[in-house]
This record gives sequence, C-alpha cells and structure tokens, in this order.
Amino acid sequence: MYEDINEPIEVATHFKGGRASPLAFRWQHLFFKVSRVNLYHKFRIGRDVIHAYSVSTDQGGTFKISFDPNLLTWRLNQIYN
Amino acid sequence: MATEPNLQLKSHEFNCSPSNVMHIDLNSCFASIEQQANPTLRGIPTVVAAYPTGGGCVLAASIEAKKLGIKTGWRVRDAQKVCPQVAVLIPDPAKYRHVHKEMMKIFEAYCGNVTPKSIDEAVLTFGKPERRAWFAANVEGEPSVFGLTEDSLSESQTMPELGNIGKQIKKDIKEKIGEWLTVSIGIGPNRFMAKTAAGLQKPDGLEEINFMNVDRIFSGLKVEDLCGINVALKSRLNAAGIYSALEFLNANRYTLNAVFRSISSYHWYMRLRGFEVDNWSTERKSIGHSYALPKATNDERELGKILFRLCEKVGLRLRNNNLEAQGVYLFCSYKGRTCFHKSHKLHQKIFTTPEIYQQGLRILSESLKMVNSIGTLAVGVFDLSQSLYQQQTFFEDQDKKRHLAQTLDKINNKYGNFSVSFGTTFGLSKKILDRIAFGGIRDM
Repeated sequence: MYEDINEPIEVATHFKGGRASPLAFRWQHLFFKVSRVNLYHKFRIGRDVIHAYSVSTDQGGTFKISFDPNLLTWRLNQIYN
Repeated sequence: MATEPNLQLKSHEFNCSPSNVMHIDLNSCFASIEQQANPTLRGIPTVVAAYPTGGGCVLAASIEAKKLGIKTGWRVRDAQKVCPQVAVLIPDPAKYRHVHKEMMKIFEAYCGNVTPKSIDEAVLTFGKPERRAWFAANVEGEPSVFGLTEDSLSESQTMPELGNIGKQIKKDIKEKIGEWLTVSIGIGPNRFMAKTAAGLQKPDGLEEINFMNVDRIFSGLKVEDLCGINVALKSRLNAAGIYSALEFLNANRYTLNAVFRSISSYHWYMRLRGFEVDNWSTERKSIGHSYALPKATNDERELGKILFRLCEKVGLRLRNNNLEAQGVYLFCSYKGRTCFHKSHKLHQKIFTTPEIYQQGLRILSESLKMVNSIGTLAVGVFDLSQSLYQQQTFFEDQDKKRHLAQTLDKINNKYGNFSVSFGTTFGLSKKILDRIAFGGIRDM
C-alpha cells in the first residue's frame, strides 16, 4: 500500500509559532500543492528529532514528507497508494 | 499481596460513592491512525499487520474491517478471504508513539492522575481537586445547573461533570490530533467498572456504570464479556452455575471462594461491587524482545545473527535503565505450534550485549536439537538490580567491557540504533523491525 521513496525534495514552508507547515513541494519536476496536513508526528534518529507530515495534495495523492531541522532539509519518505 | 479486610458486604452492596475513574480507549488504534494519515483508506476495511504477506499477524483492524468480522490476531490470508479488497499495511510505530504522547498531554490537562495502560489505553483517576478545578473553570456562578455544589462534591451520587470532561476530551483529540480518531470512554467507581463501561459502546462511546445501572447493564453481559475472565475461569464459573455477569455479581463469598480458591475471590467480590482493588503498579522484573521471523528457519547462523540483534536491544534497555541482570531466558516457537523455553540463572551479574548473547546462544543451541524450524525467537534478562555502585573488579577485562558497552551506547543514542554494532550482525541492519509491544509502554 505504501511505496518507500526516501528522496530529497524542495518544499515551500510556512514557519509560525515554532512549527513548520509544508505548503507545496516539488519532486522529480512534479509540483504538488499541499491541501491538508492529515497527521503530524515526530520521531528521533539518535539525538536528532525529525518532523513528519502525512499530507494530501490538490493534485491527488497522499504523501509522507519529513523535515530535518538540523540539516534544514526535506525528504519525501513514502507515497500512500 | 493485599490482606483481606474484615468487610462483609451484603450480596450485592455496590459502592455508592460518585464515579471518579475514567477509562479511555482509542478505537482500532493503529488502523485509525493510518486512516487519519491517509484519508483514501477511510471507509475501506484496513488492517495493520506484522507482515503484509499471507502469514502476517493482524495487529489492528479498522472499524470497517471489524464490522466484517476481521479480528486482531488473525492471519492476513484469513482477512483477505473475508474481504479480498482489505488494505494491508505494516506498522509505523513512530506515528503511534506520537499519538500516544499527544493523547497523554490532553488527558493530563484534565486530570493529575493519569495512568497509561498501553499505547491506546489510559486510566484517569479524578480526585476532588480536579473536579473542583473543572467546576471553577466551567460552571461559573451557577453550579446548581448540574445538581451539584462545590460542598456537595464528596457527597454527590453521580458525577455529571465527568461525562462532560469525557466529551471535551473527545473534542480535543479530534481538534489537536486528528478528526478521524475516536475514543471509547468508560466511567465508573473503580478501574474495572470504567473499563467495562468503555467496552459497552464501540466506537466512540461514552458510558458510565454506577450503583444505579449496574444490574441493568450486567444482565446483558455474559461472564466472558468481562475483562479478566479467560476460557479457564469461564469454565470454572459455569461449573458453579454462573453464566451471566449479573449472576457473577450476585454470587456470594462462599461461591466465589469455591470457584477461585485464592485471594482472587476476594478481589473479584470487591471489584464487581465497584471497590478499587486494581490500582497497584507492577515492578519491572525482566526485559525482553521477540522477533517473528518472516520465514521459519533452523539455520543456526541466521538465528545466531537475529539473536545477537535482539540481545543488543535488550542490553541497550538494560544499560539505559542502569540495571544489571543475573539471569537470561530464551523462548522459541516452532512451526507446528510447539515451543521451547529455558532460563539460566547466573552466578555473576551481566551487563554487556556479548554477555547476554553468550548465554542466549547456549540455550539456543539446545533449542535447535528440535527438528522443527523456528518461527518466533525471544530473548530476555531477569533478576534485575540497580547498578548504582559499580563494584571494582580484580579483572581489568570486566572494566574494559563495561566501558566499551557504555561508549557504544552513547554513540547509538546519539546517532540512532545500530549505528555501531558488532561484526556478528553484519548484513542484518534491517532484520529486527521496530515494534510496539501489546500493553508495553515502558521505554517507549
């Protein structure tokens, strides 16, 4: 049901009140506008905290993307089929 | 062990004090969280299974899947027979842990005494201060609208404010975590009644059992519907002529003594009458990990690697809790539903992963004398004690081992599990998947 991708992506992000909200992202030259964050969660890799967002997009499809605040990078982790 | 007080209640005399315990259970926990993350799964029978293959064990079924009769513990192939379109997902423990922590934050905003019982269950025990605080915040000036005044809180027979707190908690979960998540809330004068009430209406229930409605509710339940009554106890109760929950409630002490033949009869007698006997906490006695192999095997090399990885996880938890162990156990279940279990008590306390592995491997070699392939492997340590004052040994080797273990732990805690590992586990980095134990919330 879920396809693991784990690739870096470009994300337009809104930072407010100590939280980062993804607005849109580009993956493999495809543009996706985030219509809704369905679930936010965070997890640790060692001491680093990673922020994960399960999002729906205007273009269709649901994705899990994550933000690493230490490296200031976003990754597309999974596509929910 | 509790001693039996000299308390004789009439059959049956129920605890008439106001309900102060709330049991909250997240409905279809793993499956609901996955449906929250992926709205395209909503309305579709969904299961979260240990493995997506036919032999994978169903860990959670969504509300839609439960309506079709699919249950936790089934094999994926059985679920697919009932519903070929069922969506099968593997667990994502990070999501579930996060939701658990967020739920606890919500509960703690309402109650100072929150006891998490598992990843999806918690018990909130309300005392007078919490009720007063809620009263002050929500019932400004007109406390009598609830039929209560502050002074009458201790004497009141019902607690309408607990029902309102329950409604508010449901609302908070939807607003702060996810709108697809529903909880069943039970309210009662003790933990047992609150849990029973939580099971009355699923999903999204809010029920109370108290002295006024216990007879009516229990008349509709069988003894096996009650939490804690397994097949063996059901048979013993049936043999004593007790079939319904109401008959159980009305049974006198002599009948219960004859059924249980232990202190349990007293506990059940009190529990069924709404008196608290379950608010004890358990002490950690062992630390263990298990792994269900995707394919059963008796390859000693393969099993040795898996055993080492399990020992690494056990050792890390042991050391993170500043504990030492003086015993190692190993359990394995074979294809064909037989199993093997053995434990070794040691003369010396152990602490490092290789020490645990060495003991585990000794037992594993005995288990491999059985012809069948191993399907599940578990290892653990017991006889735990705090290693607050590390004894200096005459053997320099021991100190070196300890320092090495502590240094490896520091690196793994900083960069993530298994960042540095022993050569024994080479090529095994993803073999032991992250899992959440049923009922286990320690070290989460």
